[in-house]
Amino acid sequence: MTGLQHKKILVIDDDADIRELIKQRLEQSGYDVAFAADATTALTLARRAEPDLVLLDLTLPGGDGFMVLERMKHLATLAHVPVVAVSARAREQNETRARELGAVAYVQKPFSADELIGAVESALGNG
Amino acid sequence: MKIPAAHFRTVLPARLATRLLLGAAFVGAAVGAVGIALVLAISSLHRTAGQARHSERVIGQANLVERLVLDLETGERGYVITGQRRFLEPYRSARADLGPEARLLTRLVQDDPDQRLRAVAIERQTSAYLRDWVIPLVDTARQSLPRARAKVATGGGKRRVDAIRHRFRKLVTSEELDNRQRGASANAAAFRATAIAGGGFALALTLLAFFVWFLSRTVLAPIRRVAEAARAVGSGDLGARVPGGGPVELADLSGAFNRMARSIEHDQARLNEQNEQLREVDRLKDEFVAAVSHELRTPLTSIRGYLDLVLDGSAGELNERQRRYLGVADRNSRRLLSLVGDLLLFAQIRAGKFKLHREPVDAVEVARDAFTAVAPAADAKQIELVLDDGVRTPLTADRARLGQVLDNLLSNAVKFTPEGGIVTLRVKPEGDSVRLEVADTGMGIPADETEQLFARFFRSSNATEQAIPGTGLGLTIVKALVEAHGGRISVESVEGSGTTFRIDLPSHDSSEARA
Repeated sequence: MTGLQHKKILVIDDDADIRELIKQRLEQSGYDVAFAADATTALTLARRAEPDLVLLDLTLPGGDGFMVLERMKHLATLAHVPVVAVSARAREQNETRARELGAVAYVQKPFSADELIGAVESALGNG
Repeated sequence: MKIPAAHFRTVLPARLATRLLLGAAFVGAAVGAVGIALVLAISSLHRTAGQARHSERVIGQANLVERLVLDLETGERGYVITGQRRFLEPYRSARADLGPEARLLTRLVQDDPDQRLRAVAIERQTSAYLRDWVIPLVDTARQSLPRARAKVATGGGKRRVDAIRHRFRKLVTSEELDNRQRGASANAAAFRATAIAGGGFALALTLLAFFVWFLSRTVLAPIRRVAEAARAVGSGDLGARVPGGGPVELADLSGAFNRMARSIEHDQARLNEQNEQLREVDRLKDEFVAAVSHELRTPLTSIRGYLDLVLDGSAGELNERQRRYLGVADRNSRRLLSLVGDLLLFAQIRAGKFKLHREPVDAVEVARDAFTAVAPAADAKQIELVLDDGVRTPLTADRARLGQVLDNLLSNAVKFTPEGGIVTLRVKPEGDSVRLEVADTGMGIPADETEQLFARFFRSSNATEQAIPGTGLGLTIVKALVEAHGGRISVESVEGSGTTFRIDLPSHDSSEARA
């Protein structure tokens, strides 16, 4: 957490409170944060903002998170960006599918600060 | 002559009982007729034999009478020739017997008019011969032999005897002829009797065979069809039916069977439908629980996340009272979260979507983690925690789920044990399995409640009376998780002195490929 590089993380979640919570935690750890609240915005923003990592909620209005994940992995500019799935859905049914579609980690809501930052750091380290 | 089957059927009476009765009557009548014919033939044979015996008697009697006549003649001649009285011996006895014996002969043939005429003639002629010739001749000889000899020389005696003998010949010949004819007719009667007996026997056998064929056709075949259909229904083919028709009783049986099968089929269809509806309701309920769990987790994410932010000082320093109050909110939000987790897990187990992630684990290690996790709660109630573990106890299991099982049992034990009590966790290998025991010195469970203890949403009366919080899901989940591992859980409890939960887990995932 030296915070010198200021890596940019795109947070895609339809719940404003949770976006704000994630932003707080990420900024405490020295990351820059961008938001998107729905699938369409997420995809345009993802291309423009050139994030280093995407935190993706799997339940989104305007197409579910899996669809966004699939599209991102098909876009040349985004295919290499690591994606961490974040969801309140049961891990058992969704983690496998998210990983198959290219997610590098799965964070179960509700999450603790350690779980969130740990997943982000290991994703960036691997990515 | 062949009667067409359809025609044959319409000719038959409808009731089976009538058919059987008619068949039996027909066979009986045939056998009876044969019997009567046989009896008639035999009695005719018997009669003929009697007549033959009678003829022999008649002939014998005729010969006897004839000999008496000859005796008369011999005696008379001997006396006339010699003059010696001893020659009169046969004459005397014949003279006495002739009348009665001739009358007996007449009596014997009195039923036959021709023979009777002959016998009467013989009786008359012999008595005339005796009276008119023999007696006068013997009287003459007593006075004068030469005169008697001259009378004999006239040949009158010989003529009379010849005539008499001629009559005897005719009678005997006629009787013999009759007897021969009767013998022939007796042979014919015997042959008839044999033929009737043989033919009747063959007829009776044929009728019997026909009767048996008729029985099997009208009775056995329909019964077999019913049995076949019953077997089909028994083995699950509820659409099996028996074709109708046949005698009334069997048609009744077929009809009753078909009605029963239809009713079973109908009930089964309704049951299937109801089952389907129940399954649908169950599925909707599971989906509902899963959806609710998900919807509850989203707000809990914010609640827990922001509480964390405040508690770790991200929003500025907290005073002691703020920290304490927020701690209460934090603890209860954790409880709510664990309840949501239990509900979701329960829904998954019920929906069959639940999967274990098996890996080699050390049961002792898992036990120590669970032990550590429950320590703060035990400390708060001054409950002594005892960990009784030995060597490494390897096991193939889902580490997180096994931990959850022990967490649940340990926190239960702490919850139900009063201050100053003891909670013991034992781990030991037992052959091919691993035994885990959680024992407490708590309030215990009433004996009549241990059966339902693992039923969902069941809460012990002690728990509700003492207002110990809980959902009634914990033990249900524990049991489901243990069984998913192929293990068994049991409970022993003495009310007022403590409860022991015992889990036996197979060391290796032997059967189910659930991993």
